[in-house]
Amino acid sequence: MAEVVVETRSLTKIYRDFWGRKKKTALNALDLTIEKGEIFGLLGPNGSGKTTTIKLLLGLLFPSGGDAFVFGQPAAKVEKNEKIGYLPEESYLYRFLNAEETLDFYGRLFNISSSVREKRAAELIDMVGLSRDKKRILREYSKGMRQRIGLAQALINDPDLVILDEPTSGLDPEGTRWMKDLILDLKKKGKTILMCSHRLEDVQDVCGRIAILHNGDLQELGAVEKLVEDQQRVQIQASGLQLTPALENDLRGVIEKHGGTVVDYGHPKSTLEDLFLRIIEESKARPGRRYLPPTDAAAKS
Amino acid sequence: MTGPALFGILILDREPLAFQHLPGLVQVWLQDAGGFAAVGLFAYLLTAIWGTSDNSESTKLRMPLSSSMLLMAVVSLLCYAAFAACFIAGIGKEIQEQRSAAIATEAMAYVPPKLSLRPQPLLLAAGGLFALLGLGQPFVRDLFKLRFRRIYAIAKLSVKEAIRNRLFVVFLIFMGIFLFPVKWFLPNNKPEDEIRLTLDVTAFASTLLLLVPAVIISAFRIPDDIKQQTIYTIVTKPVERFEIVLGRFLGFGTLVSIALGLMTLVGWVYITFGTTFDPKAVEESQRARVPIRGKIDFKAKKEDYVGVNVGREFEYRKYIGGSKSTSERALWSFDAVPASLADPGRDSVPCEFTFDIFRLTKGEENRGVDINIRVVTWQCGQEPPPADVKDGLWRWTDSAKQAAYEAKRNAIDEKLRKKEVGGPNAPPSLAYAKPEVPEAWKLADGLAEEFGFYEVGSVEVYDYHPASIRIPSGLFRNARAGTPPGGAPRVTVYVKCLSGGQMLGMAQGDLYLMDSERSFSENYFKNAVGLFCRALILVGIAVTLSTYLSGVISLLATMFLYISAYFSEHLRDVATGQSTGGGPFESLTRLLSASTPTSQLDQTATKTTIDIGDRIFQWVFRRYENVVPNIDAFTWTNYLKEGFNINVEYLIVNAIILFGYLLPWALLSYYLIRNREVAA
Ligand SMILES: Nc1ncnc2c1ncn2[C@@H]1O[C@H](COP(=O)(O)OP(=O)(O)OP(=O)(O)O)[C@@H](O)[C@H]1O
Ligand SMILES: [Mg+2]
Repeated sequence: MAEVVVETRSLTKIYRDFWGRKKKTALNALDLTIEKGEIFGLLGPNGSGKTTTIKLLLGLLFPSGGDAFVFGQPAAKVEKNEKIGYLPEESYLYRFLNAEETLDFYGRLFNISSSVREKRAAELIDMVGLSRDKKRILREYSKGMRQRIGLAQALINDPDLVILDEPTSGLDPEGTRWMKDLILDLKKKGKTILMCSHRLEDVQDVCGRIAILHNGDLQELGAVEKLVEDQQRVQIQASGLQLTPALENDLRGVIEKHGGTVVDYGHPKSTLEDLFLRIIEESKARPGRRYLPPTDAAAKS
Repeated sequence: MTGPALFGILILDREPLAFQHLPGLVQVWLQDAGGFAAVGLFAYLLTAIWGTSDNSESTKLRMPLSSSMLLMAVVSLLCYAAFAACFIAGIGKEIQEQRSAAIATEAMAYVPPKLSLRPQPLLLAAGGLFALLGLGQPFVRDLFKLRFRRIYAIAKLSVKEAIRNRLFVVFLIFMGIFLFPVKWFLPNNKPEDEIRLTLDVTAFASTLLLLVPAVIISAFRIPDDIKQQTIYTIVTKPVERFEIVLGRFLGFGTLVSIALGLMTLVGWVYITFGTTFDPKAVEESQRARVPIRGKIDFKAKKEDYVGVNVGREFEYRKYIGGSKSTSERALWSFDAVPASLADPGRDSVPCEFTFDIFRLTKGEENRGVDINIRVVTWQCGQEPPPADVKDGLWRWTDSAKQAAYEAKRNAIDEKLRKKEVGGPNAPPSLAYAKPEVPEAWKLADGLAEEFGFYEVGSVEVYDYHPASIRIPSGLFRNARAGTPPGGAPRVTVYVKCLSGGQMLGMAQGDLYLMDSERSFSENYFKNAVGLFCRALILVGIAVTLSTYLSGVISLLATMFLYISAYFSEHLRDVATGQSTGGGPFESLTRLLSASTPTSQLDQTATKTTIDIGDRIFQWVFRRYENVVPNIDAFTWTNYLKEGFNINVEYLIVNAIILFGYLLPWALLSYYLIRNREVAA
């Protein structure tokens, strides 16, 4: 079994006000494990608890129940941060610093030598495409530029685990493409990535496994391919053909001969969106946790 | 308690804290800081044991619980229990006396606490010590995880931010006020007060200019970091939370030093080169005298004489009556004599004094009061005249020696009159010998060295005007020889008032010997250290509070604490129950029953209840007073403007007090920031 990088055990977060009164259960008994080398996606509608989960993993929030571990260490442990890179939902950086100073500042917080720090900062600025703007202060940056410097800041320590909260928000299509390539690149280098996003096509493109959250409950968990695969239906893809009535009749004949019926035919399309919407619909109809761990599910059937 | 606005003297309404006070200060610190630590420790242990229901690894990390902490808590609790037992049984008390009894009896507004070895104070200090050790244990353990690299990065960030956000530019612009002569703002002043006023104004301006921006940036920075979520990218790095506090503190401390350095430099350049002051002012203020202070005492023929109260100035000064034949003396005794006074290369040692004159009769117009000063060493004991003798002259205990002295002196006077000795400019008698005529002065010096006696027959003094005499340094050579029996002081100065119908008021600080002088410039920069300490206190409080409270609340709370320090005297009166009319409950009762504050209330059950209410109130108030910084201890402007050297010793003690004051705040901030959910 591969090395476990992130583990949560019935991780729960209840937001309370000053007097300890309950405001909102943002996360409810989440069990997750993320293994080394994975790209793991957290999906869910707005306010479903994705950011809360990430903050709990980073020790920005303290769990109300359960526990979170990263690299086998409790989330509150500071030392583990040496190997983590984090890109917040929005890049909350010091706006009076320029790109170089930003990377210098964050680099100093890690235990890396100054020569490595300087070299890496120059490389990262180059990589995120801010070489020309590196002397400008962040106050003058556009949203996308800030997202880029935010990413550079997250990678300054060459982390083993990269946590990205909505990495493509604020990026143009080209930037999105670039970000996705970069994430895949990190995976190739053996890094583990935890990201959350609304953009289903992004998730589908890069993530190996995903978890779908709704209202703080885990609704679905598994490999993207498996989840979008529909056991009841068969998809045939062919090229070099035109969709003519003759072809349609022939296909229908073949399928009926094997006892099937044609449901639909046409060009392939994204189905994660379908899955996502279906799960959220179901969750709204029947609130609570839907996902059962494979062992429990087997026992039930 | 400074009475009327006075110039020309240093009014020591509080003794400067020196090394000798450290044991007492440490004990009281253990009692006070330890008391707060005990409350914190027990609250912490209760939450750690019962408060958190889940026992997740993260919670355990955040609120560590070790057996040694528990042990310390138990030991501390035992000490407090023992204290309570002693308290109830009335054994070995004097907690109260240790701190405040002096306030009632002595004239000074603040008397430093003394080390007490009685059971109650000791137990209280021990309880505090163990509570501090317990609460400080995780703190100390985590100190080893701190890295200067990270603290430095955060400190540098703070400095950069202040500079980039143009806070500093605004500061520099305001600093322009230093460049205008004070005369322009405050005309019609006595010329000799010009430097004093300038120093007062610059001190006030720099205090304001330094402290206000310092407290504002310190109070808002961490809350802003949390609000703008910039803290997310910091705490998710391998940064110990306390490093954020330390880094900020250090950063703001650096800003404060830069600002203060600039201000002090500008102020110094202005005072030294910028304008020309009245020469009188320069003579009085632009110096740094190093006084050697003695202990004051009052003696007369009557054994139980302790000086007279004339009902002025809260008994700050005691008075002696004036007449040619009085035996009343004020005397200052000096236990130690520094070698520099007895230096053979030195002709004389100045003795400066400033007295208050209380006129019973009008006296002569434009004429001061005549006084007689006698300086003797331990080898020349003095005693008051016998009860039946009316001349009021004090005698030598060794009358043969007195006779020998008088004979020798008369012989020299005789020769002087005949101009046989003393050179061409010889004075008519030894009484007129001055160091400026070395030939004659040498004779006086030799006499003083031989007998350990020197007397100035008559000096004219004016109300609150500094005057001085010069004592031959031979006298101090005599004083330093041998060992005085039974701890007798080496040198004693006797002051007698000669003018009838006048009373001379004196307090301990009013007369001193002068060691060599130091430079005014050096003093000017030393004065800044006090302000620096005060700024750090403010920054420390504000940063600590801001780890938990919002910026505005932290700012207000810090200001409130700091400003209440200026009312510390009044606070102390309330806290020790010394304000006339009793505490708030008694006052209220008096108000309702319309009785006067000084009348006795009937000793009834109501009175007892009121008493208890007031006691509780005073207890709470004393706790509040413990939190208020002792600003006075860090204010040296009086020393500077009156031309007294600020001893390096005082500044070292300042630094120690500062450390002691900030340490509990650091501990508090450590716990607050560790348990702060920065993203909630
Ligand atoms: N500090 C807070 N205090 C109270 N409630 C909060 C707080 N932060 C988040 N919540 C609530 O917790 C729930 C989960 O929030 P979270 O930020 O984790 O959602 P999210 O999945 O990241 O949403 P989005 O996609 O919009 O970023 C929301 O209902 C939100 O209102
Ligand atoms: Mg979010």
